[in-house]
Amino acid sequence: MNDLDFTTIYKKYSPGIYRVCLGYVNDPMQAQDLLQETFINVWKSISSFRQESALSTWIFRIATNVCLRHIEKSKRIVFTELPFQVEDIREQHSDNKIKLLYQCISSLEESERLIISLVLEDLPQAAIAEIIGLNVGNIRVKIHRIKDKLSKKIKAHGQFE
Amino acid sequence: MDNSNELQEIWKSVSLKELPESREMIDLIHNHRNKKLKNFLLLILSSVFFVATMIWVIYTSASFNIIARIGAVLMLISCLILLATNFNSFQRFYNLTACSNKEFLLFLQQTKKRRLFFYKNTQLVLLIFCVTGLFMFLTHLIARNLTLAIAVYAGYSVYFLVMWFYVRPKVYKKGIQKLSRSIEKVERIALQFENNNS
Repeated sequence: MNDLDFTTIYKKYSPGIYRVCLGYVNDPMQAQDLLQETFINVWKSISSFRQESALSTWIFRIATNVCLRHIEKSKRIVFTELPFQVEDIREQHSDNKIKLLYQCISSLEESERLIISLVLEDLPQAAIAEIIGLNVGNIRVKIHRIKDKLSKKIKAHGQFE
Repeated sequence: MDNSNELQEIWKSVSLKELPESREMIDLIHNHRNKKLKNFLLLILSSVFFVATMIWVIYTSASFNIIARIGAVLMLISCLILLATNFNSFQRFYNLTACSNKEFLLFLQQTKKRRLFFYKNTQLVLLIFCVTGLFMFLTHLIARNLTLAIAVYAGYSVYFLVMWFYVRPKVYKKGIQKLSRSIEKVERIALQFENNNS
């Protein structure tokens, strides 16, 4: 793969991959590391890409694998505690909304974080099923449950009502 | 949940200022590749250096007694075993690219088994070859300077005892603990997907 091809792929997919990584770790620095690792793997493996699936599916699958294998610094992941004061939240600043959404997502189980991130990236359910390795029926049910769970978490903090 | 669109809008409005430019990313990848290549070259060069040193020792020990010469050959064998093991391990990790979660779990479990095998068997063989070889090689010192020979033997004995009974178990335990944590996490995640399937 030459630099030009890579630039095209990178420009197209890096924002989505970055958001998925950020949803997983809820830490911009770690998300950048995961993004880098994803694209290093893309660069290394592009010659073995057999076009059996869409390029986007293949790249997102690499990113989800990279996220799932991210172990070293996992202690830094912010789990259930949300450091916001309700009064602050009610100000409804968009920055707070973004922070809250990403924190709520990062407090889900690993598989749920990835599934909801891919949903929010607007990937078709069939593609998500292929990336995650589940069948479409299961993914549909799972997405519904995760959305419910996420909605409850967000509402518990008085947002988006 | 009827606010999916709003969530999606918020999700996509996260700042991308921190995102590296494509040129930066290409540089990072080239650096990463160069670093890997450098590590690989370093491994090859150190292998060549060790083997060459041992061959030189055998060659220059031609005037030494037969025991010292056999000792040098044993040390060369231990060097070759170590290099073959390291090379194999390096290749294994380097070739690990795109694989499924289950394959990755299998890879980690195999790594754990290989570490245990290395700890219990390979290191023992290495120690036997290396220590026997070294002590046999040092016999040429006895005839020249007995006091120096005793000091050297004592020094090496302490070194090997500390390495074998203190450093080696500690390093192994630390590595295995880290590996077990990784396996535990990957297993937990694999279970999430299995539950999802049922």
